[in-house]
Amino acid sequence: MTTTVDSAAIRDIAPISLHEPQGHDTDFDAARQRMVAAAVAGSPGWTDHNAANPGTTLLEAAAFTLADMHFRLANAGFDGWPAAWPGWLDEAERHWSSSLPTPGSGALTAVANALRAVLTVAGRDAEREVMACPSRADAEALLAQAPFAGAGGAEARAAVITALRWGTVRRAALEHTDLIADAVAAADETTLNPTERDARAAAEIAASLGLWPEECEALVRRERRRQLRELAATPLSFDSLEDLETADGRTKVWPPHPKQMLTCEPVTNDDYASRARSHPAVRRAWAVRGRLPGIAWNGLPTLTPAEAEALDDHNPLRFLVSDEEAEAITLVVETTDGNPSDGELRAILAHAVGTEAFVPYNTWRDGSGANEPRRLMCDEVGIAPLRVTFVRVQATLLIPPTANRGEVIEAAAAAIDAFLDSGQAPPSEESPGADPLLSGPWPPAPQPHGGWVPGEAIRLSEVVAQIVATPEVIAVKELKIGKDNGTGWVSGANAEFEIPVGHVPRRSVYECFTTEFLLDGGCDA
Amino acid sequence: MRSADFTRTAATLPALYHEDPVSYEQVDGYLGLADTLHEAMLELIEDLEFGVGPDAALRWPTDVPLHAGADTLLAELNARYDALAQWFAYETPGSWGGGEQGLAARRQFLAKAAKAVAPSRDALGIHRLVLRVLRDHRTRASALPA
Repeated sequence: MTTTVDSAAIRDIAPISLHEPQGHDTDFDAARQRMVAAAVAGSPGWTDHNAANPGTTLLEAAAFTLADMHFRLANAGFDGWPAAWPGWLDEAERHWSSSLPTPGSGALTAVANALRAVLTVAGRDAEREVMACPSRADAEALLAQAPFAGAGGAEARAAVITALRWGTVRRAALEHTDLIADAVAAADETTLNPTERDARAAAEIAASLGLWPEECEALVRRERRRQLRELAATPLSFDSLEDLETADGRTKVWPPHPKQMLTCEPVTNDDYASRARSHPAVRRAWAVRGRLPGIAWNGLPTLTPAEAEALDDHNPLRFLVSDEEAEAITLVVETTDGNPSDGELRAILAHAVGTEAFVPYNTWRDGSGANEPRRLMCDEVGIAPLRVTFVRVQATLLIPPTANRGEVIEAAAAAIDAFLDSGQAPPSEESPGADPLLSGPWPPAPQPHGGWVPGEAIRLSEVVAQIVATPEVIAVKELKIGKDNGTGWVSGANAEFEIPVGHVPRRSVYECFTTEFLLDGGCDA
Repeated sequence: MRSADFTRTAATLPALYHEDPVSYEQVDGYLGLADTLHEAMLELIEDLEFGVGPDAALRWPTDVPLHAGADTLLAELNARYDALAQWFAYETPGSWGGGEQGLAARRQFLAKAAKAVAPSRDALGIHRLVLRVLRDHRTRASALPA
């Protein structure tokens, strides 16, 4: 059966489009006009609508405030919001002022009922009386006695006082924003540290507004957060986004600018390493590509290829095989004791990315924290200890006839040991984990300077430079570096000896230096 | 220089109205009724994540009187969380109840659900989801032919 389609009818069908809500925003004139019309309709006896009429004056004041509110609503927007929700903060710190008790323990119910109890005391105005208290201690004393004893215990009473004072604090924040901003700006011009600056600003605000010290501290926090939002809302072209990011795509500011949501990944591999470095047992840590031998993301030991091959095809453990090319991330950690156990590695991994190392495959019903796991979706993050690769260094040292052969060889070996121990690259100007412009959920844990970077190849030219820097060594020839088992030798001025991923080199105990006396020399040699 | 975020309506009256403190206080109190509504609205704009996010229960709702009591407060917050749960096409089960335990369950669901759908699971939640939804909406709307 065929159906005839009327193309003309199709053309008449309106395309589906999203509804664009239209606000009721009006300017002052329109608001005033509407309010006058409503007032005239509702109060026919009011006939004097001149500007000098008190009713007209009050109406115009209300119309102005309404138009002002419309203007603020229209300009609120969402572009200024940072691309992060401060979930890393404790619940009590998420709001700039105060928070209600976490629901679930009955404390919220207790506070709500206590509020009703004190606010319904006949003949008393608890809100006004608490607002008049010069300090929190006075308010505590007021609510601890009759007739306000219904405020409950100390914990509920503290929350009740905060709730009763909230209107005053909010009004101060809204109506004295300029004064607060000036106090914070003045404190910022001093040479004090950030904590002392905020304390000074709070003290100045307290002197001006007469609020309690903790309330003034809250007003300073609000101003600080407003500064962050303004920074995030700074108009940017896409060209200038690179000013906010490092070459590897890491954001320099936190919270990230909203436009960075589309252009960069604010969480990089080094953030995982930074988290690992914040563990007290970790000295240095790196995040490298691959699934290195160690502990996998779910807390189980990784398998060798042979072990994985021996498993059944449907055994999910096969996915835990060590593979340097795997699309995974391994945290290579150097611990203070140098030889971490599997349990210690799991603890560090859990510290870095969450408790999945102990409880994998958890669901939303689990009891994990709101910020766990601390990894991007689809990122597989495991952990491995920093391992050592022993290398043989073989060379012929050209020394003067007056030199002590044994001492020169010993000094050259010590120079190479120091080189392999301290690393070849000077500290970069922007080391991993350097302080961001603004602190975020992951406190900075910079990598200590020095030390060989795991997986970094040994450049023979740099080894030569270390040896010839030794006193009494005139030159080096036939330099070779090889594996500890005597294979894999490399030589040549531009050669590099590859170090496996997650390994650092150490000189083998084998003595491979020979010496030759250089009998001629000088400019004519 | 920064200006105030809000000016009380009575403060905009001519100076004549400020001369008598008693009558000015009366006028201020009368107009202050509307001011309180405006302040609550500004608070909601400033702290929207506490109005439409898992942390809504950490703030006293601006539209619930302080003397309302626990039943009213919990009903309001549970209703708010139920509405947010529908963003995830989820009807909260009746077995969760309407008390504080039910509120805690709803809050936990929202926090976990937001993590599940958010592109990044660290320190993000409905906040980013809201931003994305609003931006996508705005982008699509602006792309439509006039």
